[in-house]
Amino acid sequence: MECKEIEKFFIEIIEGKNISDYKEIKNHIEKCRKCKNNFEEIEKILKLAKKIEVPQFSESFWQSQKEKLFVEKRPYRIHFKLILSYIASLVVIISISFFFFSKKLNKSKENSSLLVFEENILPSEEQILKLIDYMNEEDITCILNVLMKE
Amino acid sequence: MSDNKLNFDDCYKEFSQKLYGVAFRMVGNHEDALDIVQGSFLKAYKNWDKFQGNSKISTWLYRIVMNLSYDLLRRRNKIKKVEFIENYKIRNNDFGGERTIEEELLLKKIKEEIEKLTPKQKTIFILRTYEELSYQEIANVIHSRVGTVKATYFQIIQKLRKNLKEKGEIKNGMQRD
Repeated sequence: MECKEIEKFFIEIIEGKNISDYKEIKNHIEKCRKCKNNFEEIEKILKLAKKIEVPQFSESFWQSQKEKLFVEKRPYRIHFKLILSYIASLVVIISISFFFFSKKLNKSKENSSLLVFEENILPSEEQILKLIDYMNEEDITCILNVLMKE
Repeated sequence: MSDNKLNFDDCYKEFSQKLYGVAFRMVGNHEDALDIVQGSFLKAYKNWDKFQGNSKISTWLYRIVMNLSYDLLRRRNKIKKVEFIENYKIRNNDFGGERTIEEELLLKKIKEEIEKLTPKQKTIFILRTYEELSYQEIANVIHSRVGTVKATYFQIIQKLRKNLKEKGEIKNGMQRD
């Protein structure tokens, strides 16, 4: 047999398969240096490649994975509903706070005008500037009148 | 619990670790391999009634795992390949037994060369070398012919040997040993 023909049996010999011309092939490998080298190299590669391991997991790990298999889709729905309820409650909270805040703002506006005019307290320039944002035209005219009198 | 459900449970118990091993070797990391196993079983469960029983159930499951692995490799190829090889190397260092430095180096090179194989070549190599499937079973998994599988496996081994030799990782008569 030619070297090329012999090569085809290398893997089977390494795998320990029964081949009809085993003796003849083995004799050739022993005598032919080229074939011997090739055979040894392939044997070494396959032997080492088999040593490449993968992580091993226990039965309990796979049991838990199997349980996850059928519930995996559910959390998405729950999550989606939860997110929706969070958004809804956030909207409610924001609108309630906005309502109270605007009411309070209006009240403080009224109070500030009353303070100035009912108790006749003269505000400083700084206070006027601060209050000016919350005042209407009428308030501003009143203050200006008071200041003019002074 | 129906019969199918019972069979599925037994099937999961019997093949989960095996399929994980194949998926891990195909894609090179735990997260993706686990996703593939879970995805494969989910797919198998949905099509449980459609399984004709013409082939072994393991063949059917291997086929699903391979298809999902191919999809992932295809997606990954579009993104990046280098990171994956590095990840694979590091992860596998954790599982080494007692080896000489020479062996460890050669093993790393072999891993790199295996990574360079095409998905189909990788499938044949994994199913033959690690799962010890017959050429006929591999042919059934990848819808190919026995002769083609056998020839491809031989070519893969020769390719690995040639590439390692060209890089000087192995020399005539394994002189590095």
